Amino acid sequence: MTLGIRISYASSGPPGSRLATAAGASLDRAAAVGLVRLSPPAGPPRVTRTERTHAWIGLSLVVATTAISLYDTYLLATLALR
Amino acid sequence: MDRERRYVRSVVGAVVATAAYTAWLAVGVGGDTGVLYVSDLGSLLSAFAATVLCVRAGTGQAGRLRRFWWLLGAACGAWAVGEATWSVYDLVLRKEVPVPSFADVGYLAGIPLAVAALLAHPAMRSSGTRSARALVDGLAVATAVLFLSWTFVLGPLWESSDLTTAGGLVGLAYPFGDVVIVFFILLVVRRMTSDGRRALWWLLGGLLATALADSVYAYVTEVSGYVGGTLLDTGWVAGYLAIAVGAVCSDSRGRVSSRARSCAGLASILAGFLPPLAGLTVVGIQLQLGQRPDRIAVIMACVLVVVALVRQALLALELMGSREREGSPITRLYATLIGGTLEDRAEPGPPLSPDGSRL
Repeated sequence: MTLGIRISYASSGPPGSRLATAAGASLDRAAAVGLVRLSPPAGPPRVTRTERTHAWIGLSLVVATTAISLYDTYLLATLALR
Repeated sequence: MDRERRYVRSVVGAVVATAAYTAWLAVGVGGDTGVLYVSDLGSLLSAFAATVLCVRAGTGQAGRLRRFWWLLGAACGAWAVGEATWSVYDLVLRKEVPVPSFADVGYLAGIPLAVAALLAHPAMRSSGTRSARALVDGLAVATAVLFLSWTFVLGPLWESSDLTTAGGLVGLAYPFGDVVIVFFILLVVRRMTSDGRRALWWLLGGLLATALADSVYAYVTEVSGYVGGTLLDTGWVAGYLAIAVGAVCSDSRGRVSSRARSCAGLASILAGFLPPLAGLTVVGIQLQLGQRPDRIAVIMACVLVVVALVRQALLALELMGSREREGSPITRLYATLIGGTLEDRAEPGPPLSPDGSRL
């Protein structure tokens, strides 16, 4: 059976939010054993710093692939015309 | 036993066994006869261990994952039969293994089974298959792998093989099969999510090691004749044992860390872009040095260049089309590069129950 209950909580927060922290830790444990399913926070998806680095690596690969493809096109055309 | 401890023990066992096997062959303990026994029986035992552990891993899963493990177990079983037949030639009949031999039946039967296993893997039905770019991505990777293999292994073999004989055809079947396996490995890595990443890395590494050892074997057999008990045999033993380790840690479940998600994203990017880049670089170097590739290599190079440029154009279009979506430019770039949406990576889904179904 699925209960459509949405609970908002903060597992970390400013000093004094002990109740929220305890609730968050309990929910995390419940999720770990499969009792509840935690959804990601609402809003646009975010990338971590590592993923940002990986995106730049990917962009470098895209630029390098494009440059070499264009150069190979020139070399293959030269070979065909020879 | 604790899952993590079992994983560590299996890794240590595989590494120690591979190191001991390599050292035995390198030092040559027991002379030629001792090396031959260790070489043949070591390969046979490692293939047998991989078979048993894959079948065992499959019984603990359900659906596509069970099919994947059992097909992989069948592939390892076919290789084990090939190894056993090879050992009979070597150790019982004490004669040189002919090319082709009955052992090749087992070895070659393992290739379609391994491909079927990779096709059955859940990663192959992820969101990456949706777009037209995914198709062009696959085409770029396939052309690049085929071109690289043609340049370094297949082409020279094609030139020197007598294709009118069964031996020549069998010799070429190995590198062709390896190209197909490597292609599907890259496709799985391209589409894999962070879920069950560790097991998949071991499996793919193992399949890659056996595929490379197969290609080198085919090349060496054609050029100078293969002699058993050389360090080349380590490739197969390490490959089978890596598959066995992957099978041992196949039941790792639970929430996925953001680090695991990032690594899966990077692997996906590298698997999609590095093979075409490597292929294009080889084309450029060959032409720049004034080498004249054969007609087939030139055709493959032209296809690779065209497909790579089409892929980049589709990538740019997709990136421009994603401007309506929410998120920063770097978020959209990352999502586009990994070939899906960011939500697909962020949501590994609910944990699995012991019978393999989703809770």
